Amino acid sequence: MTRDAEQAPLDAMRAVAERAGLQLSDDELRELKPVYDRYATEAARLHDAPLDAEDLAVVFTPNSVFP
Amino acid sequence: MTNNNTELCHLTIGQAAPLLGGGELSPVELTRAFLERVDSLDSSLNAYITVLADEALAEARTAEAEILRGDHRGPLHGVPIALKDLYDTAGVLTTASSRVMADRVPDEDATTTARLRQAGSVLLGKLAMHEFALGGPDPTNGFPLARNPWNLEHIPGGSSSGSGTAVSAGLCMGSLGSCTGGSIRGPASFCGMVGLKATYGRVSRYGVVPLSWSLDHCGPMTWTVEDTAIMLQAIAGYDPNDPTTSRAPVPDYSRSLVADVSGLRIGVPRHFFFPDSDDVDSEVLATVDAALDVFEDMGATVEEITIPSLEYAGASQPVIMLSEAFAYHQANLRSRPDEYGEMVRARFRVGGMFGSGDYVQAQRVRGVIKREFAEAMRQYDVIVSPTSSTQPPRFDAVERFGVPRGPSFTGPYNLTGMPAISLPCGFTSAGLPVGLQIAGKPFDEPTVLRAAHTYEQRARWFERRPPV
Repeated sequence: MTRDAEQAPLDAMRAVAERAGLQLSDDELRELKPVYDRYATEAARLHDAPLDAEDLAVVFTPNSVFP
Repeated sequence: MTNNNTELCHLTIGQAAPLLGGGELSPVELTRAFLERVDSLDSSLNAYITVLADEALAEARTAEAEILRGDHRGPLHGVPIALKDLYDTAGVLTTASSRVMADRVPDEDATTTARLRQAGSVLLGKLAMHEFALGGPDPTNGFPLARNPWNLEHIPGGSSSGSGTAVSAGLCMGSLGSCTGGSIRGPASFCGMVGLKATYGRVSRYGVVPLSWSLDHCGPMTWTVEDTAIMLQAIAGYDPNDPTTSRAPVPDYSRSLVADVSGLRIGVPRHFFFPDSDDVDSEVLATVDAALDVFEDMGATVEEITIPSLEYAGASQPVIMLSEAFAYHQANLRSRPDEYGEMVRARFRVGGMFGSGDYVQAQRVRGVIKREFAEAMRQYDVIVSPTSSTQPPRFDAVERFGVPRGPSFTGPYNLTGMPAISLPCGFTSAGLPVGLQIAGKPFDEPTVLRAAHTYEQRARWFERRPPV
């Protein structure tokens, strides 16, 4: 999802939906657009957050998988 | 006994436990009272999806026999409870309130279900919820919509809607909810009762239909803080079937129920939880401010603090939640989309349309939020705020796709994994409950429970019951 997705036309929505394996009709895309736009706006904000060198930490604790 | 068995069905677990254990109250009599009340009231409240009348009475008879022969298991023995319909129950329909799982009957209990059985509780049935624990009340998903006992025209909150309705209306003594962004504390707030999201890793999620693996939490929903402590005691602890559960020892939560907050250090991030915004209800904020005054009167210190990254919590939480939900549901979304209700289907589809960069950024933001809270908690014992930014809305005011207007005051603690409780702190001029949220350090449920219990015993909002 791109930062300017709030204004994404239906064709752009269709492309990202198809990437997810979702075949949506024009009516379905039109119905989905307000929800998509709302969350796309939120997702775009994440790319402006001041994260500096914030790591994507994943903690591997083998004992919790193999007790 | 008054109409609808009010006298028995308004007992708290803490009140009933010594009566049951001492043989002064029969589990069979108590269970029968709840079943009669459910039969009488639930046609208008819609709290239950499945009522297990025969099974519950059989369990109650077993409990009664065990207690009479001196084999008393503890404070939940013979106590009638009910579970949100995403907790697996062996041999009993578990639908997650979705046509996708309409015929699903699990072979085994969730770990939490099994632990509550082991504690001797009596399972009255399975409770309504928002479909797959997401969104709002959706008339298109084919399941009844639970209603708020304080005013049937208003929603009870969600996603643990039936749990809120059932406990508040006296249709069970306690319940378990699940929480990915506020689904325990939200309905607790809207229904005027107590709900605790325990620390991530404190309570097993094994056998609970997932929404978002890294955000899902389980916890009790009850009428009082004492009852929450009792239920948490039964379900907390390491589970080899859930790799995220902690091996940290489980404390005796009953020892937390001391009415004393003198010296307790309370932080309040007013910049986030008390904003000057049309999307936040001023009556709710004033009610919570009054509760903070009560804490100061009782000897706690209240200071304003700043958590800058909270600004991004409302972006991070839904991106993580919906991305993970899409991963779980993608096959069904492609092959049988019509079996989902409109609200959930739309949001799950959006979850598939986020990019990998969005998800990674959301997790990195989550890391910053966790670190900033950890830093704040070096100086404060708890963080206090409103639970919800709004009063319980009317059903006809809920947006079709269930996207809330106001900020989520509960979601940040699903990101951090901190324990957080909601309890009543007053009522609006319309007679609707307002919830107070208290969050603590990871695995410090005892301090959260102590703060909540102390306020509860002073304010005594639990004495007011809904008009059903």
